[in-house]
Amino acid sequence: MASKYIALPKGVSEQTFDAAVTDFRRVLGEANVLTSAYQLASYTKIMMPVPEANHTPSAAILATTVEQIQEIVGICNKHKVPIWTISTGKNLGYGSAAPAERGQMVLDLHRMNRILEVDADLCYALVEPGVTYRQLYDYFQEHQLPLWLSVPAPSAIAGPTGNTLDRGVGYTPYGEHFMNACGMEVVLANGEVLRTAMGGLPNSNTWQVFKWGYGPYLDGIFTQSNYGIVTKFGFWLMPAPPVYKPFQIQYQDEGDIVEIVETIRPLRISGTIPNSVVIAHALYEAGLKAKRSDYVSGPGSISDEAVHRLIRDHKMGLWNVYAALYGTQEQVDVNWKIVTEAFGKSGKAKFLTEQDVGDDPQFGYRAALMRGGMDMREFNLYNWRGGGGSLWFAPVSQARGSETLKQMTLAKRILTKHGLDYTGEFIVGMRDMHHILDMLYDRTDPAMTKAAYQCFDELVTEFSAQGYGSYRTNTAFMDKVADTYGPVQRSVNRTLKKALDPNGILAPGKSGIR
Amino acid sequence: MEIDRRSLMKGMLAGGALLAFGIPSWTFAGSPARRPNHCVLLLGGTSVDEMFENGARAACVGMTDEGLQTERLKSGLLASTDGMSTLLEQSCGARWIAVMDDASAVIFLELVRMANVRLLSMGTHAYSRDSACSFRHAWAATSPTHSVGGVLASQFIQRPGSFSITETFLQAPLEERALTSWSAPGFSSYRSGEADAMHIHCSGLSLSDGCELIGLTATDGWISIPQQRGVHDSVRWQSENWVESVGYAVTASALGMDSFRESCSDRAFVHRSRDRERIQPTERFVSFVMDL
Repeated sequence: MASKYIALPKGVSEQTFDAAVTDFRRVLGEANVLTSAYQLASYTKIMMPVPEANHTPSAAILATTVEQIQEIVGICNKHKVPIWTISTGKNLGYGSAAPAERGQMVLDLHRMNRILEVDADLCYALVEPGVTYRQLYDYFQEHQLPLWLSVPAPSAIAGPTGNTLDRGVGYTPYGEHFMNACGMEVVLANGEVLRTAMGGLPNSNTWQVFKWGYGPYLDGIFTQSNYGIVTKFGFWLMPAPPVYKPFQIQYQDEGDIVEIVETIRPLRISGTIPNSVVIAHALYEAGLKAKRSDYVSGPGSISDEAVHRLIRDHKMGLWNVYAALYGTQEQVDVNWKIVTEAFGKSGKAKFLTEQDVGDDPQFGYRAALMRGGMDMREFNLYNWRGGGGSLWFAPVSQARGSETLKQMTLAKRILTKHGLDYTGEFIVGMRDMHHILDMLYDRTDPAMTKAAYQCFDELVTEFSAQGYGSYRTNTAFMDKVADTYGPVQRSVNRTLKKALDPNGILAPGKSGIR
Repeated sequence: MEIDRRSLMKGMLAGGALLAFGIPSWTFAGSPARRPNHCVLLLGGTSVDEMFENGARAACVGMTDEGLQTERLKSGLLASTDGMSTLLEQSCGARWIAVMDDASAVIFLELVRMANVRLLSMGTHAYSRDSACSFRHAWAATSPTHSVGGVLASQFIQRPGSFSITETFLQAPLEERALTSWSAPGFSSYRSGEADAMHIHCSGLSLSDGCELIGLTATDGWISIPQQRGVHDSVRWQSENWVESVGYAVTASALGMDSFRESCSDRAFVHRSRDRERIQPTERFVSFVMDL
């Protein structure tokens, strides 16, 4: 007999789930417990090369208060129903809003969206999980606050809580988001409410200004994990600088990446360039200006010749370096001189500033993101090939030029074997470097979808064998990536899970933790 | 168009009553109405907008007196979502048919989830020569009630070119129905032996080749469905342009044109043409049908 639910949690009968739904409706009201296919269809969309059925939720519930969440975890414990918590659910290419495992119930906190505090003197904010960057941006405008956000690519529609908890990054000097997190409120699986660090003191006003508190620093265990539900989140804001100078530097040869990274590293570590520097390959930016079918027909990876034709046609660099300077005019002038001298030594660099490029969309969206603006044009990369398939592969390395070519050669070999393109960028943090590959494929093509899965699997295997771990991954590959970090880390994570969530009701499978 | 008369009459009566009261059709019932009160076509600024609209307008003939209200996004959703949020707020009670490029579709889906819409179907459409089958259509629909594949297959089979159409249904209808299978001349039909059956309709190729084309590895356990007469969606309107055909099929389904529904969890139509295929420009887009 067909079930009235589109999926059920593993090991939970329809009768038990009925009872849980009745309890959730008592707490949240009928309208906030979604069980019909029509209501849940938008929670099922994924971009990964696995069947959507693997990630179909049983229901979605919408909570707006801490007290409701405390009751929700009580009901989950009673009926052994697992929940997958999302704040705004914009983990695009990493699993979106769909749960890690079929039948998990989505706890959607997007309506829990109050901006609780913004302090313009101390430059911090305290928000609920559903607050979006757009809300904060509008709030700053409305109240004429000279504050900047640091946003990831989905900017307007994403939010600081979810992005930081998944250890996402932005492009301003505050771009390492977890580094700028300060204070959390967490509902634990047993219903207790924990305020981390200084938040433990009833009368403290330092919750959002001093991260460490006393004793073990706990905030970290609530990121990329499933040990609690974060219901309040504090983070630091950047004071708007008097002068902002974004720039782009183009290089035309693939091998130039070594020189680029060697030039950037000392400038980043010294703070001359204060934001993470993006070095985007032409194919990463190509969707803004062209379509893949303009350059390739038939199966297989794009040829180097076609890539060079693309960059000639659209006046792009093969490598496109983006960074910015922030400060007073004097500071920016001095640092600009240092930057141009450093990059100018070899004679290969072509400098572009706002004055040079006009309304070029490639420069425009990068310049917007490096000032925390609301601009989602980076997602034009989904139009490059088209077909709705996207998987982010994100290995970390030392910020050394030699690492770039080694990683690129390895990645291109694996991608070419599976008929996929190298659509990548390097992001130089401080001493580390993220190598971000968006594996684009067409989900309407079963053969390509299968190849994409095998390719990603091989990338994780081969890169980890060389010592390159992924800093973040999608929900289909969390166990595999967790394995690459060794059995002891997995065992410790499991021990913590058992202690904090003995019934395993909170997002089982997140980061491979059950 | 062969129709299930009883279903159509029920739909017409329900639609008429709702029109008289002028309230959103889904206010009363758990499931969205088959026929909407008011339908909006949202064109996302893609290269296929015009062709899709042509097909959509053709589907309106005889289906709605009101016609289609059309909204146009000039340049997708990536640079700004401000206008879309306002539009969503102002369109409460309408059925939307939307066309987007792949990038805007991702953002659009996120926006509509926040707006608590009821998503009836989402289709991904492609013509490209980098795949074993050039014309590919993959739908995720909430139930067979809102399926589009049968209408589109009936249109495509009349014209040269191979195609694959797959549909995944989040929920099969709960009510027990007399189960007819879609059936059309030239097609061989099969259902998988599992409880939540998949139906596959193959033309011009074997079952195993059909399975391979849509990415199924297991070809055992399929049960042949005998040919039945007249249980397919006959063609009322035909276009040489494939995007127009998709616009027609999506809109016809959104407006409540009845088609043969099969009680299954997944459905596929695969056709291999013997004719030499005319090369066309690569095109990809996404369609949505939803109730606001």
